[in-house]
Amino acid sequence: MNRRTPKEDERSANLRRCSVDSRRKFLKGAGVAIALPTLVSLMPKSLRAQADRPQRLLTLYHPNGTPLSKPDMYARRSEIHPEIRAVFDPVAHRMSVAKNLNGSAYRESIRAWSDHQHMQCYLSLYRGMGLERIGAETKTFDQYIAEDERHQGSRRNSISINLGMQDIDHVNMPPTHFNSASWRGPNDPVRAFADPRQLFEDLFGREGEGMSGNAADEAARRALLERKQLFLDVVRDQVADLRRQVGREDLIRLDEFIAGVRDLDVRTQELLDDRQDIEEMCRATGTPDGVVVDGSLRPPLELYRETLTLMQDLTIRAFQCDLTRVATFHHSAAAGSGNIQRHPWVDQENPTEWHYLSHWEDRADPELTRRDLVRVIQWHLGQMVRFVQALESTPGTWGGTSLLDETLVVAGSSMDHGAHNNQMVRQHLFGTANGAFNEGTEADAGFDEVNGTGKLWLTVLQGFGIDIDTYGTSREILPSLLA
Amino acid sequence: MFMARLSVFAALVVFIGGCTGSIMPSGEDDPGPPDLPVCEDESCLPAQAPVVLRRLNRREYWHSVSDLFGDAARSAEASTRLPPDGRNLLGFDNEGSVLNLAEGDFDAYYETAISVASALEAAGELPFATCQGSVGSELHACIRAALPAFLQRAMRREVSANTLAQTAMLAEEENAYPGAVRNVVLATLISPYFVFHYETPDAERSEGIIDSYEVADRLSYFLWSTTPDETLLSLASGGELRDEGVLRAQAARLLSDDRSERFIREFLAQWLGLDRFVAEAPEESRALFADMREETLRLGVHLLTSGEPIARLVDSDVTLVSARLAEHYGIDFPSGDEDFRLVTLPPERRGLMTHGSILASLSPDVETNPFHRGYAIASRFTCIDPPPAPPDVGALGSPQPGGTIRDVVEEHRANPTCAGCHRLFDHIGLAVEEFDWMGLHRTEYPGGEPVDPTGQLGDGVSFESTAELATLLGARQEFSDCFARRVVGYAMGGVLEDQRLENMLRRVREEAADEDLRLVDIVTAVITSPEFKGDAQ
Repeated sequence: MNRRTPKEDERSANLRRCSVDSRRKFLKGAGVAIALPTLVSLMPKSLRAQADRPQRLLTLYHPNGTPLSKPDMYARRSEIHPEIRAVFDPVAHRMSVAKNLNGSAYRESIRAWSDHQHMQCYLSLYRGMGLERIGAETKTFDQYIAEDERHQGSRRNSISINLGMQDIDHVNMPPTHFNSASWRGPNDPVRAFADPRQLFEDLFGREGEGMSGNAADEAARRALLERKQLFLDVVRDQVADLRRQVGREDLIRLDEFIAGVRDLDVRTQELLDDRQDIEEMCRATGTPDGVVVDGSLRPPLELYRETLTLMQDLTIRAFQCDLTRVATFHHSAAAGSGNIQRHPWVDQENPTEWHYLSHWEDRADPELTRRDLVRVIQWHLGQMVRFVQALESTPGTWGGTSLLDETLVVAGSSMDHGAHNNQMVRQHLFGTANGAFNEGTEADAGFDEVNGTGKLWLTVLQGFGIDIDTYGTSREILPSLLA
Repeated sequence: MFMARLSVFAALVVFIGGCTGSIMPSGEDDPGPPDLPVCEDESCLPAQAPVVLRRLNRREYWHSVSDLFGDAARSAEASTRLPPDGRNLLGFDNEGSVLNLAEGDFDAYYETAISVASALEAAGELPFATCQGSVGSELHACIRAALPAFLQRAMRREVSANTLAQTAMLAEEENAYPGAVRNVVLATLISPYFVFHYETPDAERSEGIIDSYEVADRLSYFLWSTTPDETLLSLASGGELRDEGVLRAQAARLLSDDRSERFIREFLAQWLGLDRFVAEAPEESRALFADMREETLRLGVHLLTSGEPIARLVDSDVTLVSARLAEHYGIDFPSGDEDFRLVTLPPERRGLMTHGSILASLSPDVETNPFHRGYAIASRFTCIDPPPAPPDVGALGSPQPGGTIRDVVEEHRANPTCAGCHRLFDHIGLAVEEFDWMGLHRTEYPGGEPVDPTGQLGDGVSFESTAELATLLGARQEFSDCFARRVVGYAMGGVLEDQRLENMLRRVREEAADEDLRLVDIVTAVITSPEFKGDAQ
């Protein structure tokens, strides 16, 4: 049985030369063991489960909606503004779109809060306190995934990382209402990080500690793979011995058997190769270069861009090291008047804060204001595109793919139009989460008032194998998004 | 529906040329057994071909694992995916040609081995229990001391110094008992020495073409479907296993052990085509079908382990039924009894032919087909082996109004091209028309036409009913000889070349003390034969 291509054979031969020689020496040295780390002897169940290719979820949120062309409510038609759409061109080949999602399905729940339009409402459309009384979903959909054992990283708990660019104070609302995109339930927000140093230390440990709580797991994982190769070498030796003893007819079966051994060995070596670089990076210690954040946990305005990039890079590193498989990133809170919403680095004609711009139709010079808003949105979407590109150019954790191949990125806002319309919400999706989702698809949710935006979240949950058939008021999915 | 089924059956219709079978009439039509030379001293036979290396089939694998490590190991069985086993032409799953390996199958062996180790650890039943409590070098020394015997049992032969050293070193990767022993379990279960039956033919070997351990392997997997026990390995080690007296004693020992039920049950199930009978049953009938299958297998075990002649399988007037099956058959059964009980059959039922399992498994539809049932019963019970139907046979007719299937059968047999072979099985099929597709006795068809079970065997001997047919078959050698022929095929893991098969069957008949052939006769003759022992030529 010959199932390997010449290229694979060459790779196999290279592997033999560079690593198996030492294993052979070990095996033939009977009694002169080369010490390997004494760790768990066989892969524990929890690690074996992770041998399946991981699926990751990254949600990227920006506030205040996306300025579309004037929506035609009568014709129920809205299209993304061409200037906005062009921002996605570099990653259009990895993109799917879910459009005409109707946020009004949660109208009743939205009424539970006076400030409904500005709430991020993103991962569950709405969240917060008291909503369970009216049947609204109070656990954001990403948390269903984070709590599932199959989607937990090497820490093997339900940690997801929830990143934000600001901590906002609000006169009427508790800060967490604005700062946490992920909620486990009423009054239970997932801890939000707005300080990259704090995030780094939480993920990777303080300086000198290496990966927080993960060094042993990583070492164990490598030791298990190396141990597996020793077992395979013993089998290979035994088959070679057996070939000398049996008849010619018997060699067919032995060849079938040894082909399976060789396949498993090569795949094991690939995992070792892929993980070597990652482990070295994950063991790196020290304060990351970049922003020095003061005690206010709020990055200075002039460092906003650098902070955002650093937070993205830390998220990617957390994925590479498999510290988590679920992450949320929100570029800004929706409401508030903090400086963070100003964008002096954006070429605005009339610089002012984001939320003010989003009401461009009510301003004295609506066209000027709209142009400024488009520039701000373009900048933030451009950062999201950079994030997607970085995922695409980063090797995956389990064998030859990119991180984007392992990930589903959902990017968008809770509103569509600058005037805070939430009946034609549009979300952009990237990646396949290891083959679970289609790329290049446009799914029209049809302004469905009953199922609402939850139609998309239920679709995502199904793609991650979460066995629920209702999310909020939604019982339907967008099947064309699923592979 | 009936037309459709008869059309399907057209493929089974055979023509006269080349039909063999000893219930054929004597005379010009009977080609008789193959004209083979008699090789009394076997000097005229070519050197014996070894059994081709093959993997353990699934049942052998799990029997071996549980016998080596304990029943806790089997808890891993449901969650693992060892490669599926095929069936050879005789319906058996132990021939190398049907035990393939495909891409990914080694992964399955690896994962299964890990699952077994985990199951043993969870149950606190890891091997090398005497080493528990020691650590480090003391633990490693303890394992090293116990390894030779353990690996000899698991790998069914003396293991090389290299294999011992490699396995010990894998154990020594761990300093604590569970980890070290788990490594041994894994190394053992993925080893080709465990996964494969193999033989090392050597025409120059003085003791025989195959060695004594290989004889022990054949013997143990034939009668127990598992790895040889310490007694067999000890006899192999001492070179005593080829001694005829020793082999006879071992045949008796192995057959008297409960593990021989595995052989009897699996052989019967595969020979009679019942191994998938329950799995393929309609959901609503599955419990009843399971009882039907149990009836057949339990009766087989009961008769064959108690020294009854093989012939009793076909003409027995007792059977073993559950309350559910007794109710189905209309047989009195003590109320409240849940287990199977031995009961006397009503006069219309005798032996395997009247078992619900046989009749239902040969009736894929609610209408019975005498061609299909007759052919299947005759080929299994008398080893007829007709050639394929001629290509221009065409579709068979259906009964005329007021007529019965017997009319169709008789009309078909009037065609001399068809009659030669059809007379070997048509009347057997017509006889069991006494039983509907679920094995219930009937005297008339649903339309009110009477069932006529009378008929003749190929040599003209008449019978009035299925019960009488069963009695006739039980009194003849054809059934017992056919049974022996299939046992030999099962024991040798395939189809022997004709000459060797005939030699072994001759030995079987010589082994019998009287006209009645018993299981122990067949087993003893098989395992003491030069073919089984691989004696030097």
